[in-house]
Amino acid sequence: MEDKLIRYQYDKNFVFIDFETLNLCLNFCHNLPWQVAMIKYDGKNKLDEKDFLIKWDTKLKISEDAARITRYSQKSVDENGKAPEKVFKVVKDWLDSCDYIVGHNILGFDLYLIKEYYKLYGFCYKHLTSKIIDTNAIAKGVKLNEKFQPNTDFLEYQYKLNNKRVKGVKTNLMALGKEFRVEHDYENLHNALIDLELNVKVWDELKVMADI
Amino acid sequence: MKDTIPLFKSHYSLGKSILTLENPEDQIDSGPNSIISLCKESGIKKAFLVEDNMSGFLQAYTNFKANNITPVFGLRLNICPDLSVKNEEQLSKTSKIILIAKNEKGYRSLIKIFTTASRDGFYYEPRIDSKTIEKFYEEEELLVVFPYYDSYLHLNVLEDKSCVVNFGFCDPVFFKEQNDLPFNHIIDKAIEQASPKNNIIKVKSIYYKEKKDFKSYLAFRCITGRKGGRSNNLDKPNLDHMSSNEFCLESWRNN
Repeated sequence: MEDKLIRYQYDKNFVFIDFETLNLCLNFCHNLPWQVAMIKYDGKNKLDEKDFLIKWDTKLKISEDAARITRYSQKSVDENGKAPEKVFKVVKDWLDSCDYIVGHNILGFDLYLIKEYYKLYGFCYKHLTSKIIDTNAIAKGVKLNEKFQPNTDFLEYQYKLNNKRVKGVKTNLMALGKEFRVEHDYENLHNALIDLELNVKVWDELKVMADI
Repeated sequence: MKDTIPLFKSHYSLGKSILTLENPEDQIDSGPNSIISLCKESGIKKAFLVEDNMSGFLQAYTNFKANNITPVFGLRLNICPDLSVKNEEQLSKTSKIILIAKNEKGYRSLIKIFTTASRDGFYYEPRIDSKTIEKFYEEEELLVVFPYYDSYLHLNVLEDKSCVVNFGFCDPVFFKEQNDLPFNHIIDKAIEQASPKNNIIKVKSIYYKEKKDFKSYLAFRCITGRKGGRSNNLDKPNLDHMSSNEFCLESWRNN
């Protein structure tokens, strides 16, 4: 982490990322991402965005729950899905070149998909871990009043919070958005790009509250 | 690879491994892999078997000996501040420890320690405390080890627990693993800070034979992990951070 608080680092590039997947397994042996969205952000403005459907040559089927929650359309994926390796090139380019990678519960879920995606094409993902900002963990820190101490490891701090389960503390994106009175299209959450747009707005609120 | 010790675990550690302790001759072709077969295939002459209970050690001893492999037995136990105290606070301060028998006397001590943990310390699971271990500890007989995962270090740095262990009476060793998980370097750092004498041994926990067996292992974990009405399955394993397929012999060989 830089010495300067993250919220004042307007010269840095943040990439917000979210995957929609066939199910909740954390390994490509049984799960694949069918949508990935990314937003490039400089701390003030959206600079760019990507939203890919991914068409895999696989026998894996989407789970009933995932299809219902994410409004999965096989037709859309068949018609508009891009080849996984083409999507990966863009994902890798964005993630490798950014300063921070932000996601909601990225430490518990999306990071494992990134790891698997990198591994699939023979790359190591480990250089990315120090850039991770998990808004779910940060939100827990705010709610539990557990502030980040600047002389400690930021990733360790986030893992501690991410692994914490406290009854009554709601930190899902929708709950946070509503609590912070963020205007958003809440009806269409679980579409990767719409989730991400909310994630950016929630991050803007959190970074001040969390004092990071 | 050869500076990393393979640590086997069998299906006797309920829900933790899909490897058996069968004699290779009794192994069915399409059935689960036997640790003894894996050792023979890989030329392992001294096999470390670390289990969560002692149920499999007799079969292991018989079959390892029959195949000219020397077994070394270890027991992975819950360690709490005081085994006589049974409450939720103690649970939040409970971590894992491994005790390895260096010889037959050490094995007898393991039996006594596990009996105490199961009879006197039982609270959801067998538990032991450092005071009890000290009572049975002899340097020539037992080795005290902090495992890589779920040790007090792991739980304190990654799960925000406040586990305290007191092993001033011995010189514990720290196991170190590499399984391609994103938080490994945080545990590594904690181990380096906690082990001034550099008592660190590189190990590889082995729960299945090859990387491709991960899916079978995951299915097994889902089934055995079902409790409280949770219907874990491959689509929704409900197993935090269960992503790595590196806990296998193939990975140890290629290390």
